[in-house]
Amino acid sequence: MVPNTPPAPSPSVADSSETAPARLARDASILEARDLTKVFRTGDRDVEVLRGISLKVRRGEFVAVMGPSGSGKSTLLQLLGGLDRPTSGEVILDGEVVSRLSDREATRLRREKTGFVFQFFNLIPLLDVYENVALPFTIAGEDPRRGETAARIKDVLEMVGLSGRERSRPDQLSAGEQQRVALARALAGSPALLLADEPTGNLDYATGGEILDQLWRSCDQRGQTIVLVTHDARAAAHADRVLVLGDGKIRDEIQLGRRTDRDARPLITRLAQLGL
Amino acid sequence: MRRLSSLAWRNLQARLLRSLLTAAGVALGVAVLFASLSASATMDAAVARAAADEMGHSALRVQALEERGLSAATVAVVTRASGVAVAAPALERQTYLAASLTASPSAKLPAPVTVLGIDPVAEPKLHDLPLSGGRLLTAADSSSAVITETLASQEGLRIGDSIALNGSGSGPASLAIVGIVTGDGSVPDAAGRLVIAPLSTAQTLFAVTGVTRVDLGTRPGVSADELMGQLEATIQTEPYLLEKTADTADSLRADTADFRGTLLLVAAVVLFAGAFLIFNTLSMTVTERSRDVGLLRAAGATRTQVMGLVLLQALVLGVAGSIVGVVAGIGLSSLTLSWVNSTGPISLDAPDISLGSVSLALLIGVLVTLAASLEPAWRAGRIPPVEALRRGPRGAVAGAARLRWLVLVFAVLAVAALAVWPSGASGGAGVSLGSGGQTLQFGILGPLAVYGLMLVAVLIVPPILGPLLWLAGIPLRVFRNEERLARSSLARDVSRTTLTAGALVMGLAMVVALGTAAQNIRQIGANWLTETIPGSELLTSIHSISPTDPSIEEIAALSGVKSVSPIGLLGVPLGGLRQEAAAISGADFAADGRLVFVEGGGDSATAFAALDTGGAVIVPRSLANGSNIRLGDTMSFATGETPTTLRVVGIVAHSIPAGSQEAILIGWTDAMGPFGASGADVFAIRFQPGQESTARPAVDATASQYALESADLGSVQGTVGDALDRVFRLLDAMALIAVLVAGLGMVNTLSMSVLERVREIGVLRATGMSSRQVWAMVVMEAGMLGFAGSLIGAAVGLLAGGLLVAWSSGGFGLTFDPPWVSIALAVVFGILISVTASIYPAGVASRQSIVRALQHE
Repeated sequence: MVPNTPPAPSPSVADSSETAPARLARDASILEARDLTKVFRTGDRDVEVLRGISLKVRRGEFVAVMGPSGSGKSTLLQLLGGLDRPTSGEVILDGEVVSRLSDREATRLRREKTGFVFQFFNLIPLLDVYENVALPFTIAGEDPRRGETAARIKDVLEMVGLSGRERSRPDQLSAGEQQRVALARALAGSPALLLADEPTGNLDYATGGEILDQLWRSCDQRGQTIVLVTHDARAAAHADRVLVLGDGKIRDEIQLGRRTDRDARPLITRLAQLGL
Repeated sequence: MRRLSSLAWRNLQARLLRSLLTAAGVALGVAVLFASLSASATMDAAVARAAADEMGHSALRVQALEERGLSAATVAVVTRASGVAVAAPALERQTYLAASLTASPSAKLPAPVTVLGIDPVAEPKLHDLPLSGGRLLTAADSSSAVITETLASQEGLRIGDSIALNGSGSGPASLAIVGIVTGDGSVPDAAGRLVIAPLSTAQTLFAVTGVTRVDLGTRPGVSADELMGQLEATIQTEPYLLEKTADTADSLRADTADFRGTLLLVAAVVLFAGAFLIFNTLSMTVTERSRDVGLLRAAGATRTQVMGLVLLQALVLGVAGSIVGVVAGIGLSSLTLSWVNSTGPISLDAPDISLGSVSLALLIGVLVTLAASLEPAWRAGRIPPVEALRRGPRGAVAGAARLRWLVLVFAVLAVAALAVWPSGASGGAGVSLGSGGQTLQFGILGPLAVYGLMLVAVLIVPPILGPLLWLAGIPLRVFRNEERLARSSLARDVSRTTLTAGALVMGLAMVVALGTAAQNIRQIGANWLTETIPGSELLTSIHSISPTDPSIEEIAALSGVKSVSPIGLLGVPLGGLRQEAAAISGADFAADGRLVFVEGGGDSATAFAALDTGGAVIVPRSLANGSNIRLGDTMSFATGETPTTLRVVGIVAHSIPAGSQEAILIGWTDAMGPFGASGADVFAIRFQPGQESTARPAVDATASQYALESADLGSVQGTVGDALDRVFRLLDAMALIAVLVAGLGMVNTLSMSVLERVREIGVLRATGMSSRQVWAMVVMEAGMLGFAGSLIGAAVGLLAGGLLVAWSSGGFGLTFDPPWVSIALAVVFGILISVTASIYPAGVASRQSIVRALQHE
């Protein structure tokens, strides 16, 4: 896994002593989408969900994608993560053109370079906490109970605050705990990119906040690159940058910068100006 | 979890009931398969043992064809052949124990005994005669005998007792018992009632000079085939048959091949039903776990890994089910063999449980399971990673996928069945008519056509299922909501419903097909006798009686008797093989009007007159077609130095059944002339119209005085029918297992259906539906499905039964006569099985907590 470097702070607090190479490394994109479109056929009608979206995400950046229901944000996430293919356009992740990969290669890419957190936890009910977190390693044929792998799993479980709950099954966990397991699983492989689709959509206010804080810490302290899809401004406020989708296009881009307070008010004000 | 593969095991455990039911379905299919393989092997072994017992260590047997036997001159020629090391002549005749006859002259005739006259010196060199007491015969013995354990036990005889035998000479002969051999002895037709005496003693008893057979041991370096060549060149004076041990086994094996083939067909149907169960179960698992599979794919699992998980689950089910199936199959095989009890004269022992049968059953069970799981596995591998984001399960299986799967499993089973198809003289499947061995053959195409019909039936289920379900719902409309909801639930996943009904269709179809075939074949058997025997009562004798014997004339003179027609059954040499023949009175048959001459097969009056004159033969259509014989042709029989030539004067649709053939018909002049017959062993009695009931008792009493056993044609038909019924009842029981497998599938399907509707059921309960109504809804679903499946199964079964009958009716011109009562019972049974299968899922559905159901995702 390529270590992530922290993102550039918002222009308002840029450090003028930064060296050029450091700035270059900081500015390197890990994810790029070029003119993405996605058309779904429903019955005898074609529905164009995405209409030529282009974006870049730098290493260690936390980007949120917002928009009203039906704006195509989940579809965009699926394309960025290689879960689906665009009708046209390209997705480049860590130098590989995802949209042109065969199923086998895309599978490898997902295994090695991406982690997913879904709205509905998506834990395997037959596996315990440890096994769910270890799933990417087991799929890759590694023994998750030995060596570095075991250490890594232990580390992420500690990070999400679930040490001691390794043997619990999903039905023995609260909703928040289940989502933390999902987060640990996504982070365990130190992916180049973590994609989260409405990770707090099924959680209460306080629990959702905990999850978002953990996401932010993984980005801030470990340099994890994150793309978060949400309709919740409070969640999006954790990001460094917010892309607002509407009618399948990027309507606006809001720079928030890396902030320890993660106050949502500036974002809400801006969204209100956009009429959202 | 160290390996992804252990997820397969956990999936099976998570749905334990479903896994157990599926494994049980596999087990049932493999049990029937193993039972058929084991029964087949046991019959084979019994036949081989009987042949070996009969032939002993002899390499070749010279068998007399004529009743008078092989002459002393022929025996001498045979003994002197250069390749012969040992020659053991023997005479075989049936008679009665004098004591049993005098005990109650008016009662039913006792069972006869077989007397085997042997050369006491030569015989033990070629035949093992294991003793349980006493000693064997020696050259010095003349009035001694050795009997079998079976006879000793039945008659209460011991060593030192005397045994008096009725003979053809001057009164009973009394022999002293000096030894008892174990078991039934080496003559299968004796049924254990065997008396072994010195050859000369037996010849004197029966007033003959010939022998029935000569068993030969060859010199070192001389093969049986070489010896055959020597003998064929030297024996010219009388007809004979040369048999090797393998030939004996083959002819004994011919009858059983048909039964074994039919059993295998039933096993294939049961396994096919099991395959449906596997497919449905794994399809349900894939549907249920589609989000998990999507997650695995999103996390980087390859399609191959996902497919492997599904196949692994199938393998576990297949192996577990097959092992249990083999164990159950051992019990089923025992039951089968004890029910069948014997194959003609050969009794069956404990089931043959060889490593070969076990391995084959296990292999086929696992292969069928894997074949059945290929499509669900393939589909699982195709689940896209984006599926992980879906809330609900995936949609139903496409029709094309289902078709591919069905054809694949059908092909695998067909290939497996063909690979293990029993080899036999007919090379086909059919049924033997009782111990007489008449065989009605379906041919290999028959079972394949029936099997193919099953496949087609399942494929056409989808379009007709809807209307049938609507029809089934009519009487249930009084329960408005429950009926409507039940019907809509069945329509939710057409593929699953189709396959669940499909298994029931197959099982029911097989039951109905066998029942239909049984009814009609029974009728064919009865018609066969009615069409060929000129009378309504038969008198049989264990030894030949001249047609002009005073006893026969006495019976013919009784009031109410119109005619007594002698029929002599004999073997004649045709083309080096034994051809069954029947000597008849042409005039009797002409007067009687029976025997149907085929178109272009001659005129009956002319043909019958020619028979009585001599030099003529009437052949059955089966032989004429098989050997390309036409009216006017001549047939040559090797009856000694000069062959006997007979002209074909008629071809009949059916002839008198004899052994496993239809007999050619010859006149008494020829029978008692060149063919060496000495008399008739069957007399057909025709009564004056309206006088049968009064004349019969007198006929029976007179016949009994002369040791003639009487039986009316109806009871003979009944015996044949009973033997058929016995066989078909067994096959029906096996086919019912397929219906049981379908029932297991229904439990799985309904359980899954309930699981999918947990929230819906919660809403129904919350809005006022009672738990009893929920229960009724699920039961109705099963009942409607059972009705539809049973109805289709019955229709397909009728068609399949018709195919089997058409194939085997051999031109009897039978009116197709479906057993409607049995069919109705089968349909009711199918519905009952379905309703019973719904009890558990209905209970689960009705007992759900409303709150928890509403919270269910």
